[in-house]
Amino acid sequence: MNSQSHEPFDNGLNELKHEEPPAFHFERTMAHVRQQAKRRSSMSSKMIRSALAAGAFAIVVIGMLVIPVSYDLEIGSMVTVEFPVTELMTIDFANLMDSMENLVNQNLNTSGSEATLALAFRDVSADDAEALVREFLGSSANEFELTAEPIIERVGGNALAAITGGNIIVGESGMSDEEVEALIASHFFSMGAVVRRVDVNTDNSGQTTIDLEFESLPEDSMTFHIIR
Amino acid sequence: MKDFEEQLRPVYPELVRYAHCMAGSVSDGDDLLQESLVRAWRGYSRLKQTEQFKLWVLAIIRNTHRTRSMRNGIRKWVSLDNAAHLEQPEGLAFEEKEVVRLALSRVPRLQREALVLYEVLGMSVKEIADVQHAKLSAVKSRLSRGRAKLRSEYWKLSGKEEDHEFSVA
Repeated sequence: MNSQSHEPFDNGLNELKHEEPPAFHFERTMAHVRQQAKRRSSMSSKMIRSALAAGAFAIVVIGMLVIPVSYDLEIGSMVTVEFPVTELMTIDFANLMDSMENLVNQNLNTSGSEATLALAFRDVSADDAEALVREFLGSSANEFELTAEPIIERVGGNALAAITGGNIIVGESGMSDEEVEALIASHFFSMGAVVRRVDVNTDNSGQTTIDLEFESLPEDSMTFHIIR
Repeated sequence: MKDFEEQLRPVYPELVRYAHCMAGSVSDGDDLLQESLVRAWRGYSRLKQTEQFKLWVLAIIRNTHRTRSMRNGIRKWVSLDNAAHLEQPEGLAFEEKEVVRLALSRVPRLQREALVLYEVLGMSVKEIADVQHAKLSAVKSRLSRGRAKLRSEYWKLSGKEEDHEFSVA
């Protein structure tokens, strides 16, 4: 290619060949490159962070849906009052439910000369419930045997169901039928349902029958698994 | 970024010349160069043969220019057949290199690229063949046809009659 004749435009080509960039051209270009690179890197980082956050959120939701959880939840307390049946008349049963806040269920059983009154409270600690009952009974309380225990729910299912209350397993071993009745009534109450009647009966073979009658039900459906 | 700049600085003037000639003007050439260097910086960590840095950046400029040309369509093509827009104010004259640079922009892309690499950057036919992924004969053909086209456009731009005494050997 070196054998070609010289042409007028070759002078221009030669000028272009020896043309030097103006002063600070390199610095100006690099400043632009840095700025663009930083901006694109920032955009890329934001996109990565957003993607990671979305991924983490998805993992949490999926985890909540599929990972089974089980934990104890104190939902209230149960106060049991034991007294001679002869003292029945000293208790103002007509005002029992209205006299004590958060009392959600009462159950009276008599056996021979002994009577047992079970009172279930929602969102009240055992100590506070006992104090409420003692205040209601007045001086008679000193004659009666009071026992206050927290009501513990074993909540199971997946975490999301537990949070939304859609699927709850109630279990407490060693409870009497009366205690289970109070627990069930308390639990339904906490879900927005008012129980008119709950009967728990266990026959000789160990078969348990639960009869429920509701005063009102929440608009949302409820799913319960009751395990003894 | 520091390594990138260290590699870039010695070859920078050649890259500027190449970009300016390929784009057809200094301003468009600067834009082309900046866009290409942003791409080069982003891909620098993947460059294994650092001794090939100049050829690598040239290839990026080449690809960027092709992409921009496709993106912009024929927007940058101005009719130089009508040289009215090149009329120069009295007392002022276009620099010879500006006329040649403008004439180069009318040369088909592959021919122009071969011409610029050969005439302005001083690369050998073999090196150009490597850059263009072409045979030596194809590069020689492009250089020859490119010079012919450049001559034609140069005469149109300069408003002179073509001197037929000049010819490619």
